[in-house]
Amino acid sequence: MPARLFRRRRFLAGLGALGAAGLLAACGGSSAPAAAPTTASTGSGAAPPSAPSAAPTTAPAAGGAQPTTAPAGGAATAPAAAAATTPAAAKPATGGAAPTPLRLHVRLGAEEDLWSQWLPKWEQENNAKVELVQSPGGEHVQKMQTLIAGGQLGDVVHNFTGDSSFQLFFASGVTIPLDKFIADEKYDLNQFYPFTIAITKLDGKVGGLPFKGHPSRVGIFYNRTLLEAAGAKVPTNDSTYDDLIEAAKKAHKPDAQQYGWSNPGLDSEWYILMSRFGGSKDIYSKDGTKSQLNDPEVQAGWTWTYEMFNKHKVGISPFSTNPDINQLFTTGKIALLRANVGTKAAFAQIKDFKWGMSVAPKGPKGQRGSLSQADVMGATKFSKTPDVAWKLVKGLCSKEAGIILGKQQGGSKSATPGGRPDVYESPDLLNLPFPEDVQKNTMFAMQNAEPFTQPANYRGPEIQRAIDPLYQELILDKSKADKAFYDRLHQAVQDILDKPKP
Amino acid sequence: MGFLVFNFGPLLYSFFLSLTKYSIVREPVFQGLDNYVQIFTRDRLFWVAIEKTGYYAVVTVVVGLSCSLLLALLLDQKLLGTSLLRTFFFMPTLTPVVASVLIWGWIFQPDLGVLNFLLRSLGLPGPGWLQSVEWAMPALLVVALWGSVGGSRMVIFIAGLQGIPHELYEAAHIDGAGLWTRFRHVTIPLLTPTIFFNLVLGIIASLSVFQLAFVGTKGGPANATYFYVLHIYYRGFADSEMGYAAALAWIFFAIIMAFTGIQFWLQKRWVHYEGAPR
Repeated sequence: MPARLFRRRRFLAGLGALGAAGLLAACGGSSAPAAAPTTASTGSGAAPPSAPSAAPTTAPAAGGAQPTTAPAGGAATAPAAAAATTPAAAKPATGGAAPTPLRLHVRLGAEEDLWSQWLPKWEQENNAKVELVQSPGGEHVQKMQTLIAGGQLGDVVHNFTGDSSFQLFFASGVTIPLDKFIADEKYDLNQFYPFTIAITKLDGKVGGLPFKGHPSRVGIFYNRTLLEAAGAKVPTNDSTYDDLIEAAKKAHKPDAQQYGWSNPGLDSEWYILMSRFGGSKDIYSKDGTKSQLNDPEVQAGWTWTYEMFNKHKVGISPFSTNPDINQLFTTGKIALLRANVGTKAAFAQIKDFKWGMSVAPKGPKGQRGSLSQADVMGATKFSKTPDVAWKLVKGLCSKEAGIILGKQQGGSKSATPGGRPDVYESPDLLNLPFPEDVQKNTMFAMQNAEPFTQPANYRGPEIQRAIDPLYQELILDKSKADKAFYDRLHQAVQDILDKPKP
Repeated sequence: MGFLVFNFGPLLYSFFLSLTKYSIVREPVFQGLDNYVQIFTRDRLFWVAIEKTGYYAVVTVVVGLSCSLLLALLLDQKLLGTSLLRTFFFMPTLTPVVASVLIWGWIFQPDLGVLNFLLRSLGLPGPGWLQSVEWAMPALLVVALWGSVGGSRMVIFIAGLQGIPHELYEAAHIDGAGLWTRFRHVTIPLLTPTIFFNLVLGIIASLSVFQLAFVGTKGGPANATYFYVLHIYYRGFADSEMGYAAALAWIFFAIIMAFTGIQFWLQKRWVHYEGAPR
């Protein structure tokens, strides 16, 4: 019998050696990027605010995410591209200090005007070069999580109080406390709406500044042309929920592809608004640990919505995605639509009918059930120049930036302005060519907004996914709005609230 | 080395992660088999996902393979315009899943979509399709089959059919075999390696379904299209439970390996390899 070249033991030993080598190589590969956060975290939060660094402390992390869009800015764009990869190359010919490189993680498309109209000026004034890392809104947080895992996150991040990403990032130390910067500069937090500051704090520490603020889905958008043709009353801020039902009934003509009512499909903000209908109570208790969905007052808004679709039968399904309910409103097929006040940007181009927006009526307990959220700009522990990152955070949350955001229109741009009274009350925004009282009512809604509370364990998205199917059952009339349904809903939420933090 | 570094290394690391509590933004903390215990004992959506994915896989594999084979038989005829028809049937495969789901979403729209418009014009009430608990899955199956029946599976079947020696058909014909008998006793046996190949890949692909539901329904309505990979994605990226998601992924891997192993074991009984010892 001829001797075998490879015996099983030899093969396995060889495979093991290869595996070990592979593992070593894999571990070795991760050591380079890991160095960045280690160094950066040394200065996180502790670095006193100072003038911009005289020279970049480091080049942007090699292999990090590349900007998908260079900041628009005419002539500034070309040197910007050079600076993003080789900061030294961008050093002015006069021998002045090279701009400090920063990486800013934002959503794709939603805040475009800010990057073209405001950012180049800020870069020039602060001798910095900002690399925009843009990702689609739906995957923005996931993209940042992936970069965190690889130690590749940039200096400043756009995160949100509404999806728990702000809470998760700040509680885990990804974003740094800004209190020292605020104290050293005596930076005035009163320039923001108090509730926007309240929700950007955890354990008394400020984890970011309100980049944008909005009162959420309290806008009752109406198609005046359609309502008047149907002989229905056009809603005002003094309308009641019964008035909305009556108007929707008159305008609902499904045979003519004309629908009385719709509202958001799947959305945690919407669930909380529904829950507040009966008296300013959220889905959760004030401390975010207990479900209140077993409370009849909290259930009242859910029942009202259920009846709108299944008793009065005046709604078009909110689960339509193609076209979605906003598109249906734009084409003049929906008489009344409860939606985020910022949705007005998508309606700005409507020419075929008259439209407007009032604020959601007060519920039985006299509460409007408003709901304020903030988009947050935070500086990260990965930043090697936290003082410059702080400057960028401040700039992004300034009045000037907030007004530019509020003036955005069309496409996928969001018209949600900065979360500051001087932005919402600015003539620049109040005089925008929106119809009827849209702008005035937007300001009114913001002035009366209450904060959007989060579960104490930051499991907002998980709770939303537990509620979504039950809400769908309700709207699709697969479940009745009865005790058995609310018991299930309450238990599903409580089970998640009982879990530890991720 | 590339495999070891870029595939095997991460594979092992993901197994390690499956034994930890890992939220991405914090360091992983070892907790043994807790994730696995939770999945089997306390995760209601795990069983929902298994059920929905199983249903989807059975229909897409059985109906998809049958239709692809039928189409391949029809397009294997030496008739005028056959090449054009093959191209025509192959075209949906080239459409990105995301685009096809979006387009089908418009077609399926219950109130304004063209499908219900046609049904209404025939006096039939149109269902809610993607917005209906009962019809969402059938609607997704239509989209999936539209995009796959005429695709690579069909091309592989045509290649398999063209590999069957013509003399065998002639001999069967001389022996008096009719169309069905020739198909039953010549085509099918000699096509079994191709069927087996398509079956293995078809099951793996159908169990891995994600984009259809992610773009089209987000797993709804009321979890009617909540597939397994969607569950992994949501647990990992939406809930920041990456260790838990890794455990789900390993269970998924075990399920796929088991199915594939069973198929390889069973193939000895029904797959006929020409020239192989019997």
